[in-house]
Amino acid sequence: MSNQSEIKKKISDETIIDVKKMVAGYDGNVILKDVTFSVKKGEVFVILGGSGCGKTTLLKNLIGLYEPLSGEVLIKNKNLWSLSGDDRGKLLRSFGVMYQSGALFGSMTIAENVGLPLEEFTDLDPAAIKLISRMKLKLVGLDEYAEYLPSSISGGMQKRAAIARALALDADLIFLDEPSAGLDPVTAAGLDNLILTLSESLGITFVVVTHELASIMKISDRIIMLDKSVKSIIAEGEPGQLKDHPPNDIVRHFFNREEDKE
Amino acid sequence: MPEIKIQKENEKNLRITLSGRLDISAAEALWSQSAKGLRSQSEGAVIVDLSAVDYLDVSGTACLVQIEHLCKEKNLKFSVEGMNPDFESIYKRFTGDNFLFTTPDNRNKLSITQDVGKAAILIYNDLCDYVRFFGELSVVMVKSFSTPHRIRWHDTMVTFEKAGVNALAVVALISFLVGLIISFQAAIPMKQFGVEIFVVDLLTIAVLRELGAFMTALVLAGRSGSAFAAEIGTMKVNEEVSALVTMGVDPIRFLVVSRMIAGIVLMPFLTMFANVVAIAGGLVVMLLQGFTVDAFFNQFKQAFNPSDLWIGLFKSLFFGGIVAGAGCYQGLKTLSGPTAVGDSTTKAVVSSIVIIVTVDGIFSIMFYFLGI
Repeated sequence: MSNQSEIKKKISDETIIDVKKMVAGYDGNVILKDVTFSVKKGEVFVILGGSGCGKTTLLKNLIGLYEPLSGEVLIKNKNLWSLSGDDRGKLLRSFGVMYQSGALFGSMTIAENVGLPLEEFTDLDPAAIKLISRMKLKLVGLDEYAEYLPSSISGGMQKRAAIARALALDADLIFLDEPSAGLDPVTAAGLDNLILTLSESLGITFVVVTHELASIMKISDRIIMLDKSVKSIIAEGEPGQLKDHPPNDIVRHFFNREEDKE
Repeated sequence: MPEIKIQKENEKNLRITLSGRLDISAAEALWSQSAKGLRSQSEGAVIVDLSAVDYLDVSGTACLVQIEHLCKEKNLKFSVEGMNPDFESIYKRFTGDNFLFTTPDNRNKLSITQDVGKAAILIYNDLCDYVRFFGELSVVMVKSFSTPHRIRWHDTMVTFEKAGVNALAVVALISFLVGLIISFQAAIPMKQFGVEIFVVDLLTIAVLRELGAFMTALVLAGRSGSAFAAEIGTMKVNEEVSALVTMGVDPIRFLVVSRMIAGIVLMPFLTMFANVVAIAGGLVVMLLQGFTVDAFFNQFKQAFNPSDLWIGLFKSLFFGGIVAGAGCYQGLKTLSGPTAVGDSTTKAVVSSIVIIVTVDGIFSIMFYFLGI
């Protein structure tokens, strides 16, 4: 695990995300309760769990799409829901999000998708925007597809383009929702390597929602595991440690890919 | 804050010294200042000193790549000094890559003449496709009526309710206002000749023969033709239509026949309703002009010719079929992508209106020669 040790060197003691006793849900239904954890700057932090355990709900609460029912979510020591106007916009622009479907704008080329945040929030020269967009695309291996429409490229490529767009404003915190779901193993491995490279070379913090075991073991520094039976975190720690010494049966079943008989 | 210092190292060489954090916030200044500094440099070398740079990301690297590219264009030597090894992996990914500066290929761009020709061919092909579709649809309709239990009657009734019953209010509003406007506009000049009672004749013939069916068809095209295209288009995008095909189910029989039946059957009823409401609009104007209800209906009886009514209702059958058919056809032709369904609905409405007007014109000529 040489990659792991190299990454660890970049992890600082500074907390970039702090979640305190958060309760999340919709329409009065509680999906998650008593969720408390923190993410250090430079970490690749993985949120995992079985289907329907609330991974995506947690992510949507972290990125400000949903307001927690109670508790607090601090991103870079700021609560998104207590900010308004420019301050909220500034905090939102300081992190990037890759959605499960990619969520690229279908009427724009891949390069235009990546260049959109630059056009909207900087006064850069159009040639500079074009170059930076191309470079971001090269970073994810899509520079030759810059002028393609999202509908003309594969699902895996769309996900990579979405990562390039999330990186457009050089955010130091990136959220990825199921980055390797539905991808072939080779493309998924390529995405994992990309996350590691960006984490190592730029010190970007990644919060990754996934249930792909291979990916978890390869990229994560620390993980939390959610479970729908308790609607909360059932395990937290380094992946190797949780795999070798699972604190409960649910974690053991997950890491050993065993059927949960209960 | 980043600092940019551009100075002549000697007579030939230019030294660009950068310090601080080179990220997106520094890129704008670095981009413009370096371009400006390089403008006067025509020979020698450009040395970029990064020894005081704390952070370098992709945006900062973009500026270095741009300087390198400008140097290459001017045949200047380019070198970087003092780069922190941590930043090298990012920088090395992009340095010397000419592809980053390539422009999109314009070889496929067409001239205006080619564009016009291409558009004409597309219209012609579309027309052929329409003929083919309506031919195929006619065959499927005949086959469906030979096995009526296979027709999706529940879908037909749902469509009948959505496209017909639920459209009554908007048909009433449009028809009443059109009847009112026509009568009012005609009454003003006719009054000058003292023949304003003949407004009733004008309205009766125009509404029963033409406007009742035409207005209803326009409402149906805007309201239901677009909905048919959107419903079937979304199914196409979600591959539900492909699922039907692979199950061996004919999408035209499954999706189009029920909508066609509903469209054809409901149109005469809606047209009849529109006729009544439009005449009522005319009645209001005539009452305002000082005529009595009796006078209005006496004149209406004189002007009323059953053949006008039957011609209007006969045409409405075709208009209903055209709206439903065009909506379903455009839905089935929907391509992939987020704008595809929107494009289909637009095409469904526009093509319905164009075909309705064309068919109405053909009917007018036909009835003229038949003397009805």
